[in-house]
Amino acid sequence: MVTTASMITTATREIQFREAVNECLRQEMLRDDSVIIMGEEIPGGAGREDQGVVDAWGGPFRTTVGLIQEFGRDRVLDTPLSEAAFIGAAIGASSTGLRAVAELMFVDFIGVCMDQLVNNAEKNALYVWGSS
Amino acid sequence: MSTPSEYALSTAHVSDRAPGYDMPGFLIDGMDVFAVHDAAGEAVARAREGAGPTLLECETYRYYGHTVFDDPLTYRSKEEEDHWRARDPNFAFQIHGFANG
Repeated sequence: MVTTASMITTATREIQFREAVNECLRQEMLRDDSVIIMGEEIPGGAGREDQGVVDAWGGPFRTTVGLIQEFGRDRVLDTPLSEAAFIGAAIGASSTGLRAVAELMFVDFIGVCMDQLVNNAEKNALYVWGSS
Repeated sequence: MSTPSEYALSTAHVSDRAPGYDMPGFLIDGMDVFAVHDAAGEAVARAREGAGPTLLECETYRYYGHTVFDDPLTYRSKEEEDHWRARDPNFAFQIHGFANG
């Protein structure tokens, strides 16, 4: 494993949970180019770059703030507001070899992407490779 | 919240999708009280005649943040807000009331 400056975490530190998530995402994206992250408003303000809007939101808990500046739009993706669509897209991306992280804003929304989770994520592996 | 509809929609307007459901769809100025009243009246009349649903897209604007936690000016301009505020339906309706007794 390659050690980077942001991985110096041997000393005990107290940070907020969301900061730990943000740090973890950054470390994994630095470590592995195939890690992408996608979700609603995870940088925020997509399509308004010409108005100077960059990283307008960073997710509802700011777990993805700052990632767009470091890794760019190809790896930090604002999605349309459809959990079914972007969870499905993440499953598709994963099946082609990317390590896709999909942020679902709130767990309440998981019900709308049950088809993708149950019928695609779980069963596709069984259909195609014979194991999950 | 911070995602513009022109980024997230494949069609220019939601009302463009109505034909796929075999129903009429109309784009209405949601800031115009009378336009909304007329369009809704026609849609209700159609439904009562048994002709089925109508999709009305009434374009309007959220002046404030999505919640108390977000500052809209991080993802849109003051000019955009002012443009919509100038067409506030309450204000326009009052003007119409004064002008027409």
